Amino acid sequence: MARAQGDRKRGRKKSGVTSHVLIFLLCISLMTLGKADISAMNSLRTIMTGLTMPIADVVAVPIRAITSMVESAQAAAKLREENLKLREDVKRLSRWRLQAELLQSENRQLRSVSGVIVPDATTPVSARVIAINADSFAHVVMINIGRDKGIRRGNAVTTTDGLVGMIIDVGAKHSQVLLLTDINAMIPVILSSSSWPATTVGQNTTTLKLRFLPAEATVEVDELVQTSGHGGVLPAGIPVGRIRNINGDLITIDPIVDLKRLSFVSVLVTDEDPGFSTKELLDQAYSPLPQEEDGFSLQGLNALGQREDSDVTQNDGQQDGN
Amino acid sequence: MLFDRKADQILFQQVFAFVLLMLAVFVESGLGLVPSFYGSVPKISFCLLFLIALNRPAAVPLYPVLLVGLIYDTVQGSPFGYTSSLYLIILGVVEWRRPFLIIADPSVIWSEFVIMLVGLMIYIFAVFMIFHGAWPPFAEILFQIGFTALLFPIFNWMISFGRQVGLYLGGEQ
Repeated sequence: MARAQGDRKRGRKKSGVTSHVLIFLLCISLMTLGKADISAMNSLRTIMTGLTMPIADVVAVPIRAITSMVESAQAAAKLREENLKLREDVKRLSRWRLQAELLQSENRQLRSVSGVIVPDATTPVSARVIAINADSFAHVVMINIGRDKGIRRGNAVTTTDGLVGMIIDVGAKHSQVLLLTDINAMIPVILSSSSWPATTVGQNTTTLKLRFLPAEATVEVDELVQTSGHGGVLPAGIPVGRIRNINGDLITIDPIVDLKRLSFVSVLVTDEDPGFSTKELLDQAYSPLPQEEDGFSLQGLNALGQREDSDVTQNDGQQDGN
Repeated sequence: MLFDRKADQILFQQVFAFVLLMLAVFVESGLGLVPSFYGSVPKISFCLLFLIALNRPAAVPLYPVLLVGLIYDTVQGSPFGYTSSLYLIILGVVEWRRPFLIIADPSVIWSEFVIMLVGLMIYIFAVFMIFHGAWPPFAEILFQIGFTALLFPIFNWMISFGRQVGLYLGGEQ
């Protein structure tokens, strides 16, 4: 009798271990399927996110309130110091505003003369951030608007300071934003003062790396980096970050937006579908290199780091022909 | 007998543990909004799961734990099954070490938890490298794991206190 009970107990333990191992293997399979970017998995994720979003939103309210209270108390402590700094900033910004107005006027005149085509207009739609990445595995945030506001995959997400990231998943009333610091985020950029093209790559930390920069390019610390518009997914001219450190080939960038303090963002909704797809991005995203001579050309590396044989103008022509 | 009191108790414990873990998951997700914890929120759910599995193993069956992990992955945008696999490792370790830990001092339990966290960290590094083909952000992960280790004694004390209160009110050991 006692032996039979012992056998039953051992049998139960064995089946418990087997089911434990099987469920663990199920988890590994789910991770692998997710990596394979299967559409059924993406749809499942979108549905689950839609279901869990209201709970995440409710739980975030007291945390946001406490954080805001602590930050307000900290700000009150150094109010005087900040006031002086702000006065100086106002003076400096007034000078900049005057200069910006002059440049804007000059820009308008030059455009009318040269016939430059102005990029498609985008409509900014405001959204509240519900959840920010708690782990370093993925740098993704969730926002509280989705298809109901016309959001599409590939739309740029910004604040008043600059680029935050781009939409990667859209639900009925929520969207997921891939931050530019995510390891999978590659943004085609140009250096603002020298116009050298490059690509920023996230590292799942608070900084970015600058890659595919031509060897001849000169970079300066604190130089502004902005989107180039290459690839046609993100609009050109959105500030991305400033060069922080140059250590040989390793150039690090500080994002211009304080991603730790995101509460509201703007999604730049375009009238046309940005046509975001990983494959198209890899096929189309150019990080042009100049020729060895002095002149510029759009021949260069694609997002895979492969050198392209034909230049962009020729490609466009061929596509039109097709 | 229509109602089995023990089965009801276990069901209640399972529901309570599930709700507690879900709450922990959403609090972790919300703590991501605190600038100091950006990308490295301490894993409250690790502490709770370890302690619940140690004190009430029947309260944390595999499938609800799998579900909690999947929900966390949904909210955080990490690959499906990643957090569940971490939770399953915790459950496995606790099940293996339970006969020893159930009679051990809190300091011994803590040291075993820290050793387990080191193992989990190695697993996280490995998964990160396999998935992204790059070195993981060591500083962020170390901060997260370190903070979790520091928080564990507080949760351990809270659960012990809760058990003492339960015993005082006439509950079972």
